[in-house]
Amino acid sequence: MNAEPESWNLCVDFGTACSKAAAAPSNAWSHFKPEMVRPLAVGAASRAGNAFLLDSAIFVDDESVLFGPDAVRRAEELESSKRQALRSFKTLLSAPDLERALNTSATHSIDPHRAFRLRDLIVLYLAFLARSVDQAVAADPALNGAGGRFNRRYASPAWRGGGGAALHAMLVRMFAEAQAVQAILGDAMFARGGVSLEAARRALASAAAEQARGWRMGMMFEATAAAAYSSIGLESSAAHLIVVDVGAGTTDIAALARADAALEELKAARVTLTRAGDFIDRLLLNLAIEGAPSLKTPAQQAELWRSLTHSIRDIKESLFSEKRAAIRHDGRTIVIALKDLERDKDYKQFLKMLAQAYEHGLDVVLGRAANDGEGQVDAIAVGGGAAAPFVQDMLKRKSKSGKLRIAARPATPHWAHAPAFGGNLAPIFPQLAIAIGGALAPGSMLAERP
Amino acid sequence: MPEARAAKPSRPARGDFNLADMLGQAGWAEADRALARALMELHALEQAVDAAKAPRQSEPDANADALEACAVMLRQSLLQVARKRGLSPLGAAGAREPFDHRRHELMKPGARSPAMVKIAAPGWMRGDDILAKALAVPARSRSARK
Repeated sequence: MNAEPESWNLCVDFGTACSKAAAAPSNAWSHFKPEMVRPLAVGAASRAGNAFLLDSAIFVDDESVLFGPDAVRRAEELESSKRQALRSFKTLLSAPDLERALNTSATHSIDPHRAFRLRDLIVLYLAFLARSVDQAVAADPALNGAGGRFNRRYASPAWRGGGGAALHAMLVRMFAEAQAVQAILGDAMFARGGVSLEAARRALASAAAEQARGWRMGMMFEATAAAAYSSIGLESSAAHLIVVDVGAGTTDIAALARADAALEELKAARVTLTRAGDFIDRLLLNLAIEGAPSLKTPAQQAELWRSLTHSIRDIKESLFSEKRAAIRHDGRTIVIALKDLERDKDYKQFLKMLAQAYEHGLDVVLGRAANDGEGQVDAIAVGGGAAAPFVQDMLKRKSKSGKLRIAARPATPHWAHAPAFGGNLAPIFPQLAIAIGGALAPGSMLAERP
Repeated sequence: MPEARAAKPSRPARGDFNLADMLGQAGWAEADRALARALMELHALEQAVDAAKAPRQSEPDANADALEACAVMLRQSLLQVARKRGLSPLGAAGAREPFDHRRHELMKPGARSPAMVKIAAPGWMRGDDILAKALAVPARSRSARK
């Protein structure tokens, strides 16, 4: 029987579309047992379809504030009246002047009362996320005896404008206030009707005064988290890595090298492209419109666009795995072939930019590996586009340097197929990967310590 | 006056929680939408088959097109379900392999097992578990064909 770990690492992946969290024993890096990895069912309390994903969304209604899946549902109901939920906070957090951006009021379509600053809404969402994490921990018997012995950290893309320590301090303050808010609002945040505007305002004011004393959190780069889940348990854990993260809004290339016990980011390798999954989605939607010449008016084409936005990711997945995808619309079947996408001028340009960025990152990390006397660089793809064939093909290319080997790591590590998970972790692993990697990594790999 | 504190989340009894089952339900939640689409296409397929079997077919090409469209959509939706549940194909149609009773099911079983088989329809597996064996027919080995 397993002895209960003395303490746990708990990592939150505050995602653009959905947030996730996972826990792992603090000594997992040196004593790895796959069955001790605990993805947290953060969506269970708010009745999310997939209990391990929590929509990153908050909706300001006429008299209340709604969270997560309820916020998304309400925004869809009111789509025609141009009301919106606040989403993609993560993108906002990479604004060049974050302090100013956070102190701006939300737009009229998000907060018609003009009652909240963007910062207030993010703190309210973080409170909901914190409560969801606490509920998930309480539900898991492996964790609920831990008595609060959690080393908390959050995963983050590398900050683009520098000033990492200041931004980390600002985020920890917001997480701290969120803890105070969740202690006040409690499970009312899971009610279908949400919490009243007045209750939300009072909780924010009280939390700002209290500042949730002593709240501590570390920060881990997403690339480091990817390195951790990819190399944990292997005989030779990766010392030099290149990570390609094809997300929704951006594609990030990062390189890491082992320095003592920690992984150091090689900043010269970092490239961020502002084209990623959403860009490919738009190209596919345009191809679908081109494939339906009977839809002549802008209104007809807009209707096709609207009807596909919810299923475009599944369509993209089919296109990449089967080289063609079919769409039903208005009694007709529209077929998009992968070669149609590959002929697109903008797509070709994106692939070219991606290849150049990858080659640049690879040159940097290969150079470092050669200096360190290593013979191998590991290549990992993460994010929604990790399984796309153009990404996998890129990772499998041979090194131009004859002496060094590039080893492409699978998007889902072998240990995710462990019998303890009954075959059920691997299919959803890519969505939970960063939270899990962030929990597995030792404290020495944190970019910012608590 | 200080704000009232909400109660801490309550702890369920041990034994009520099974992480593997919850992960399985999450996988199904992802697959459900694709399964619903597959079921709708199945209905459309049945209607197209009925139309094709009707005694007076005024538009045989249209019936064939409708059947083909249903087959394409049904295949796509079912493959999406399979991916979201972690299923992967076992064998490739047309491939020749040494017969392995754990991986192959003969379409017409004979008294003796063949040395080589040709895959007629791939099977399906999840992780290391074989859920459906590949359907196969006896094939002559390459050396025998020369």
